[in-house]
Amino acid sequence: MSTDNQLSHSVRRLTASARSFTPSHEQDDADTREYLRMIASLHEEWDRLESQASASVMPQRHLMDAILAETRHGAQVEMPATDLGPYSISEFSLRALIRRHAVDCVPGARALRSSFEYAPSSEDHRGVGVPEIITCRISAHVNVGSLPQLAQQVRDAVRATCRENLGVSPTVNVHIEDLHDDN
Amino acid sequence: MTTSLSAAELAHLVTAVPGVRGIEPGIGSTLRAIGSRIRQQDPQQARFGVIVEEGSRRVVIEIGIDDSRPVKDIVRDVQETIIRSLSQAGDSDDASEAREDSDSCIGDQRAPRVTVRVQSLL
Repeated sequence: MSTDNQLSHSVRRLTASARSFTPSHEQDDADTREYLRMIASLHEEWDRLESQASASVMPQRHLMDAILAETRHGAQVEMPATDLGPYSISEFSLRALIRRHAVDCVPGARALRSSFEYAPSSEDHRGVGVPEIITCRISAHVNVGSLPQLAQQVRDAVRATCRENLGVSPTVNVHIEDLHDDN
Repeated sequence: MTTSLSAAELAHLVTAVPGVRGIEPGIGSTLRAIGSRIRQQDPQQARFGVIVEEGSRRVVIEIGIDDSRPVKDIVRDVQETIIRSLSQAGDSDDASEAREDSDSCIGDQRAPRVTVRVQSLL
């Protein structure tokens, strides 16, 4: 018998044993005891197989990959639908878009981290709504002459990227958090 | 509209759209695909990252894209590809139905609702 089907075989045997009791009010206590014994036995066997790294009790690899990806990607952000249907993008993608296509394209600016405030999402969407406010934390090069002007350039770039790529026009706040002097 | 186009075939069509790097499943479609296998349903209708609901009235597709084109243009092309393909497959399945121009399915109320989830942008 392979390790993979050890658990299922055991559970079948115990379940069959549990079924042998005729359900009745008088036997409720006995059934409950038997059920608890079965669960305890199942836990013991699960622990044993888990300690042996048996695949029968391990999460599937693709499921674990999906959970990790979901954690990395963050919430799905609702976007204005195209003329053919709804769509959303992950916070991870939205952050990448703003960093690569907007902030880092402005000479003298370097993206640190962006955060979002969202409108309420529609009923159909399981995630957050359209971004209404984007806050960009950036680092400015020490040689930048005017920090207010740099902030405005970043703001304009983010708004243009959001409009062209997503069709949204959020308010953009820029916070210059650091200075850097490397290239 | 009925269709015989499988989730597996849809996945191939979508990955051919310029700007799409690949099917990138989220946790929702992964669980649905596993659930479908456990219930021993048609494996062709269950793919990680592609959800085709019964009767093809609603499709959810999860993709990773690149930055070669505006996001909304890539998404629209994916939606158009799916709607067109499902409609053409539906036409093929129902020989008694008058053949329509493939473009007529776009904007048709019978057209499936295609939801695109962009998981990553590389």
